[in-house]
Amino acid sequence: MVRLVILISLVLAGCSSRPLAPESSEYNQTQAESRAQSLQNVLASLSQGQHHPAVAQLFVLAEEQRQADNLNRAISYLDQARQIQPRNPQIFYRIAWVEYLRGDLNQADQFIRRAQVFMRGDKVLQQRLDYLSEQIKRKQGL
Amino acid sequence: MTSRQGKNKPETKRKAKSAKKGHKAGSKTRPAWLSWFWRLFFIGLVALSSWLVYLDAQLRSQFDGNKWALPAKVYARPLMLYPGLLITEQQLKAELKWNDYQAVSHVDSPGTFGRDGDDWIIYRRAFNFYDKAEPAVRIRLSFKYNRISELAVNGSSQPLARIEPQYIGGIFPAHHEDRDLIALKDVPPALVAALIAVEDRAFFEHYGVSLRGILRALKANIAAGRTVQGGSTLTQQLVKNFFLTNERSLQRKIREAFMALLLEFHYSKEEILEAYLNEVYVGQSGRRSIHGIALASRFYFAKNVEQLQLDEIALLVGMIKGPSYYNPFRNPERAKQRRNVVLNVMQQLNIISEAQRIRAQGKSLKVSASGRAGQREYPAFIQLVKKQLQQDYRLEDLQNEGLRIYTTLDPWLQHATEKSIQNHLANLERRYGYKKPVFESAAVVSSVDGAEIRALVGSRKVHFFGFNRALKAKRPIGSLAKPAVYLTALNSGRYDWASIIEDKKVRVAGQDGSLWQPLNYDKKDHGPVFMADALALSLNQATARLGMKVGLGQVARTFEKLGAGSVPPYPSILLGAVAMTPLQVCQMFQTYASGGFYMKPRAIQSVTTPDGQVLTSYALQTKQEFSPQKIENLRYGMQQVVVKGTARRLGNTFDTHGIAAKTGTSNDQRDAWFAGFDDRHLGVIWVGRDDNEATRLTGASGALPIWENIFQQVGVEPLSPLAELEWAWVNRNGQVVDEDCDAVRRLPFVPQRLQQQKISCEDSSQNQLSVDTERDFENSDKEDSGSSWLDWLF
Repeated sequence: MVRLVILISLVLAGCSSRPLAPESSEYNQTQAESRAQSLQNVLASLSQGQHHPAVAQLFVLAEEQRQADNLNRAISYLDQARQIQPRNPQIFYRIAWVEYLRGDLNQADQFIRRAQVFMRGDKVLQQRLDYLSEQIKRKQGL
Repeated sequence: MTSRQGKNKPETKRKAKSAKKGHKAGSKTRPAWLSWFWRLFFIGLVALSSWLVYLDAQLRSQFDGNKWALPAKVYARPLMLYPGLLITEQQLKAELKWNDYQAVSHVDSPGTFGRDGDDWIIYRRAFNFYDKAEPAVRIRLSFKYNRISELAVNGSSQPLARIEPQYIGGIFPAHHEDRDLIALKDVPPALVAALIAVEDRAFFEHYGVSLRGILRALKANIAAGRTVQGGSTLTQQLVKNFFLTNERSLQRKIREAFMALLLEFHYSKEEILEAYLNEVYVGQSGRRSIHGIALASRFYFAKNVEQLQLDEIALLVGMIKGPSYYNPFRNPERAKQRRNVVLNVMQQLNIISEAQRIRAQGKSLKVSASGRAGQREYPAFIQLVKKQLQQDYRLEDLQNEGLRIYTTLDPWLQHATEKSIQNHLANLERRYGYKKPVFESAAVVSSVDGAEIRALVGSRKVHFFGFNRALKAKRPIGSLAKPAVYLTALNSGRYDWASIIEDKKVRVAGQDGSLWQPLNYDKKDHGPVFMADALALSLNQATARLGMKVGLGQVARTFEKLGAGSVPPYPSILLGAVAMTPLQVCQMFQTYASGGFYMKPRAIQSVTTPDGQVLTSYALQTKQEFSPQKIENLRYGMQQVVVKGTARRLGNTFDTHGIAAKTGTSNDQRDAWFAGFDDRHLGVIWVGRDDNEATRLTGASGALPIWENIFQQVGVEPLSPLAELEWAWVNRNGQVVDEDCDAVRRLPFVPQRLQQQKISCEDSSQNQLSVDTERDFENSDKEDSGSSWLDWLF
């Protein structure tokens, strides 16, 4: 019986992946509204979307590390992606996200600014950047 | 009483007997000297025992645990390969060769590469990259127009592959010993057999010292009339190398013998053999001494030990007798003879067959073709790495713990930078008729978006560990300071590229009564000029006037925000009378190149333990100091330097619109500078003399050609815009007008400022002078009223 409980716990733990969105407790929205907004404004994973194949592979590796809660290594993969496409705002956005998750709000904000330099009319990305910027400000108490 | 008497009797008897015995012994007893001998013998025995206990403790404390101080190994960046990558086949080949890959016709083992038609096949070695360990893989690459068009790993199409980074040096302890550790189980049995056959055949029979060996050596040496053979066992050799010195004395030899016995007493033959294979000295590369067969294998053959062929094993074992005497790079014939002797011995002892011996002896001596990884280091870059590492690590840990340091160095760019400097300085010296080298140079090349240092040269003598000018030579930067003045002006919101600046004589009086009177390089006044031309032509007088108007304090603040540190607000800073190292200049220009983001130049990506555990990752840190729009605006001015200004010579080689740059020449032409960037790289070059004499060079003639040559080799990617600017026509007064109203020039504007400026055709024909300019003087006087440089006279 004990074995069964442990097994079920392990399976559940293995299936879960920490969402990129910050905890929604700070909001007064309903859970459903919060989820809808999250889907619109944040990524489900770092590897989401269509990208240059090499960058996409590094995003997958970064996502694996994020799920393993190894955020330093996730940053390291994103940094490799940046070296391949130094002006890709999607990469800066992801670095900003992971910096946010690491708790370095100042750097997260700076990478949002860098992403914005290279933005060329990507409305979805702009929304995501704005949303993340908002989260940072909330956390900073601004 | 009776009893007492009864007791006394036997005592008396005993005494008598004793006396008798004594008498008898006296007649037959040992002499006094013998007695002293025994006493001394016992004292000696005690002393010897104590000494042995001491030796034993010493031996065990050093032999247990970490036996060697392992220097940190420093690696360049890995070469990332992916479809679309811009890389010439020339670069790929060079990088593989520097990484000790061997060109072969059949690519069948790690560390080799070759061609299959137009495709490239690379057998990448297994490597512990800083993010994960990767096994050896076979990579196939196809090229189209200098780009990788297809990439396959082990037969299947892949988006990304990496070539392991090149070893570029170490951080050594004082004795400069370098080694790679290897376990006995990973050493080819033939190598162990050859070693024992040549160095100590009775290794598995003796207890550390071999009397038979000593006698055999004695006999051989007497027969030869000189020393031709040593009697030391492998254990004694290990003791000598590991614990003792090369001192030739009886005392050392005795100590060595006892320690060998103790070593054999405590440790197994396998442990001793493994220690020997890691300890043995096998050569020298500059200041770095090569120890252990694992590093020797990489050093001489560019292979892992497991991959060594029989002839290579024989050479390696043979060299142990005299690494310098049998050095295959310097004495190939002698080394070959020695190799063949070892092969003969191996056959005599039935370790190999006659056929194997004949085949191995028939092979030519194949050592790595002065493999860069084994032979050379990048001292200037390593010094920077060490400096940055010492902010987080103790030097002793860097020297002892075998850390792996993964850096940002791009070997191809480094090579291009080194060669460009060496060639251009030699050309200059020839041109000016110097018989011996007089010029020195330093350079830093970094990535525009990540501030990774890709190349760093501290001297034209790129191999020597000497004065590192890139990090330590602070020299006046001359006109490289000017973009900071113009950025301050653009940032003030009162100036744009159409602003008219008076280029005429200027005098500024200091509080101490001294006068600062800069002149233009051509000693002429150019009158009213567009601000864009003042920067492009590097006009000193116009820039000095502009700088005084925007305020010295403001300019100094700009320097600080750019990362140049604290600069005193003296008028002379406007023209670069501020001393900086090339690395500091790189830092300053990095902020222009990255679109206004301050980033500290980074030389290190990551630090790991020898087994790959990440200790520190150096992630990109950034801080926005200027808006992209302001920097885009400044870039226009710096692009004009290349299009029509002091760097227009670059037009012979590149499309000038895609490059932003500035030349710099200090007073009396003592220093020639050039700093420029495209969309990928920023390069800063300094040329001058160590004795600080005048060079007769300018930034354009002394430093620019080096930059030009480097970027020719690595390719230029034109600058892409950071922000939208609005373009408008201006009249000769710098006023915005319609194109058909006396317009003379089309220039970029920040949109807000453009809207304020436009005037009608009528006004344009009436105005003769720029009113804005006069008003600016007044403003600046107010701004500078608190400055220490109050009196500035026209």
